[in-house]
This record gives sequence, C-alpha cells and structure tokens, in this order.
Amino acid sequence: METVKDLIFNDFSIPALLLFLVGLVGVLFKKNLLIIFMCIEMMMCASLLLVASVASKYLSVEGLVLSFFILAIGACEVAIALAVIIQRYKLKQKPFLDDVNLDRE
Amino acid sequence: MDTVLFYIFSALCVGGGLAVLMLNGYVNSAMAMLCSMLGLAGLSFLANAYILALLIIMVYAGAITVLFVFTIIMMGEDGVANSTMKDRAKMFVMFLLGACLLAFFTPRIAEFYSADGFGLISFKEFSAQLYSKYILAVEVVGVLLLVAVVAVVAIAKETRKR
Repeated sequence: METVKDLIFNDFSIPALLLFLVGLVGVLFKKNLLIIFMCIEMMMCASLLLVASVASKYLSVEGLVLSFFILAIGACEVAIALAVIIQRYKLKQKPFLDDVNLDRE
Repeated sequence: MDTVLFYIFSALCVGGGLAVLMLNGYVNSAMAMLCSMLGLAGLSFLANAYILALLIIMVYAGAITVLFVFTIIMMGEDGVANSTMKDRAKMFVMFLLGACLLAFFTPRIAEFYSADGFGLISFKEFSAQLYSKYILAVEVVGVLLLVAVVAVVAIAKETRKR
C-alpha cells in the first residue's frame, strides 16, 4: 500500500520544493509588485515540475494533461496581472505595494 | 552523467530563483527568472516529460519573460539598474548557494537518481488523449484565454477614460 508520501516524493520534489520556498519567501518579504509577481510565477512553475515528474513516474497521461492546463492558466494569469501592474504604475508612478489600502481603493 | 545534469539544472533552477530576490534592477531579475525557467525545463527533460520541457521553453522562457521585459520597458528607465560587477558576483554567489542548498537537502539523490524510473509519454498518446477525452477541458481553457484577452483590453481602456 503506497502512502501519499511515496506517491509524491521523487527525485524532482526537492528542487521543486526549494523553488516553491524561494518564491514564497519573495511573496512574503518583497514589496515590489513585479518581483512579487515573478515569485508567484516561480511557485507555479515549481508545482508544474512536481505534477510533471509524478505524471512521468506513473506514466500517467492525465498528469501531463493537468500540467498542460496549469501552464495555460499561468499564461492567462500573467497577461491580466501585468496589465493591472502597468495601470497601477501609471496611477501611482511607483511599483511598490506599501501604500495599498483595500478600504480606500 | 544524468546525475551531474540533474545537479546543474537544479542549481540553475534554485539559484535563478534566489537571484530574482537578490538582484537589483528588474531586467536582471527577469533574466534570473529566465535562468530559473530554463533549469526547470532541463529538469522536466530529465524526468522524461519532453512535452512539458518544450512547453516551458516556449511559454515561460519565451512568451512570459518577453512580456515581463515589455512591462519593464513600459514602466520607464527608473526600473532598470545597470548591471555592475557586484551584481554579477551576486548572481554567481546565488548559483553557488542554490547548489549548496540542494547538496544539503539531497544527500541521497546521487545514490538513487536515474532516469530509468521515469517513463516516456509520447506526443502521439498525449495529443490523442487531449483531443478526445479532455476536449471539453481544452475548450474551457480556450474560453479562459479569450476572457483573459477581453479583460486585459477592458483594464487598458478603463484608465484611458480616467
């Protein structure tokens, strides 16, 4: 009987996990919108690598199809988020997050 | 050979990620992200997920990095810092740090890593499944892309009105 750990853990999980952690640290501690967004992309890519490695370990076409969809959704996300970032930059003339106030905006 | 490649690609991947956080200037960060994505594509290649490696190089390393660089251009000159010797040294240190982190966390990989454990899914099989069993999902993703395009145009028009 395989546990979840056996199922997910393979040689590629450690680089994927480290990349995810680096991205998480960036999202939590950086104030620059563009850098934060790059970090979110890196986290997404790390999850992509994990899904793809599990898929090819178990020869599962479903897993590969799932990673294809993750990629497509990542592309949509980039388009919209970069548009929002540019508009915000035009409005405030600086790309930082420190003056964001959701109550006021 | 595979193990050496595994370590090189992993160091590129994690070191590029660290460099995104540490480097000054958006262009440098974007290039570091490109390094990270190329490392990731290499890792997918080693995992025998050739299709995904191809897609990552085309979509992430190609399209998305270019989109980031365009955004940086739109933001103007002040977003770009000149690459100094210090930055290059920092980048090199980041890759070393990435390699050290990997070596610390993966003491056993050199013993058990081999590509044999990973099967190869052919392009034919993948596309046959994609366009038969998952055709609805493909359509939904197509609609999602269309909605994204419309949303981006709407966001761009919104501020022009103001």
